Amino acid sequence: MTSIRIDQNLTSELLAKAKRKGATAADAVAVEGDAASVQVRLSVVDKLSKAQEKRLGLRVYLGQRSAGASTSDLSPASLDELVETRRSWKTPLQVCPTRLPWRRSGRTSISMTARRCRWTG
Amino acid sequence: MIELATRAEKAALAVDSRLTNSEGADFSAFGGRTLFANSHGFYGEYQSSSFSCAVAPIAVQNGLMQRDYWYAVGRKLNRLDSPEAVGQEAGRRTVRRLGARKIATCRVPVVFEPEIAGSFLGNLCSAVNGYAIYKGASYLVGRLGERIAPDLVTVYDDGRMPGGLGSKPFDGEGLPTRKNVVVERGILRSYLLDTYAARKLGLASTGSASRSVGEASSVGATNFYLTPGTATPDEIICSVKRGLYVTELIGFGINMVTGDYSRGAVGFWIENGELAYPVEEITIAGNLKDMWMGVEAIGNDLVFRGRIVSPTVKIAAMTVAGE
Repeated sequence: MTSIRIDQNLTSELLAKAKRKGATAADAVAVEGDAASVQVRLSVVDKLSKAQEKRLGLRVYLGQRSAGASTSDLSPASLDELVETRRSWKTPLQVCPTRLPWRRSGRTSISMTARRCRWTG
Repeated sequence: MIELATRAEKAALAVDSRLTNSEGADFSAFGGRTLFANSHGFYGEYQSSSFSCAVAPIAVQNGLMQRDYWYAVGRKLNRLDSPEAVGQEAGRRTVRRLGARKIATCRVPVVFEPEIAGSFLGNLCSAVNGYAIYKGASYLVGRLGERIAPDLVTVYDDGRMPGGLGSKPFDGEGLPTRKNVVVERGILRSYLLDTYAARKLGLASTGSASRSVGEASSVGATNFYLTPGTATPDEIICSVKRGLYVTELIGFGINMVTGDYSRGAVGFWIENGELAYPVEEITIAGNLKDMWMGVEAIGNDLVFRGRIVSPTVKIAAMTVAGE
């Protein structure tokens, strides 16, 4: 997991980048969390779990349309890719659900959702 | 945490010798940080935490098993009910179900214990969700300003309650949260809206946007509750000559468009104002519109153990289907 801190510098840079790439508006949501749980049955531990989460999502608006993508990789290259998912969001009406820009490499996943879409392809 | 869960389970099984097995005890802790920024210049962040402890013991009598559960959940570990208190309540709730009977079909008053009343209130919460409203998929479409319940019913969604499990300073779109009056003395005053649902309806957001990372906004309750009345739960049960006290609901038999309601239930038969014996394998049926108009009493026992909570509620009459 990357140690890059999600703060106002990071989000304002991301939002500015989205605007430069043509978004009329944009927002960023991030969550960081630590979770731990234990399940005991008849005084014996059945399950122990610990999880750490860090995730950043970008949503861009193009007039009345919007599309979003999220990642858990906060490296500059990954954030560029997050914004560049706009290749799809700029024309989200042409997004096909089976051809969403899904990437998965190690711990990184970029997923995308769009609103007011019509599926094509 | 292992010790806390073990203590809770031990306390549950110690309540009665018929508690001989357990589905298990859970303890969990969460701490996190949420932040939101938009290109209009908003930036905000907040921290949150939650702790929970739950136990599900199993009781056996004459070869028949019963299980129930109890839990505690809160923002602060030092304010959480002790594992012993959670376990004892779980044990008590499980043992009291032993010897459950079936009953004949009838139409009687129904009393929902707080957990069940909370689920009933959750149905109202779904019905005032702006997305259901603009899609025309709720029985409360077009009812703003109209009576949907008697005077004693007032419902708030308060995003600002200190320590509330649903409290947050701003919603998923960066708008300040607030205390929304949803139902005021029986009159439907507001839906719950984010900007998308609000614009569809020609209204303003109620600061109710809920957001998952990477997802579009949706509407979510913060601390959604039915304001308590003055009667104790015992007084409410006492007011029923013959009726049903519901402690568990099964299944999803609710049509949000028509309000039709039909669910499997478990609970106790009320005879002459007292819980006479446990009952099971029954179905309760009605319509959410009639059920809300038929709310006859609200208890004084509101506890914020979730985001959608209610005190005990008495409904004038429902169909109880048994044998």
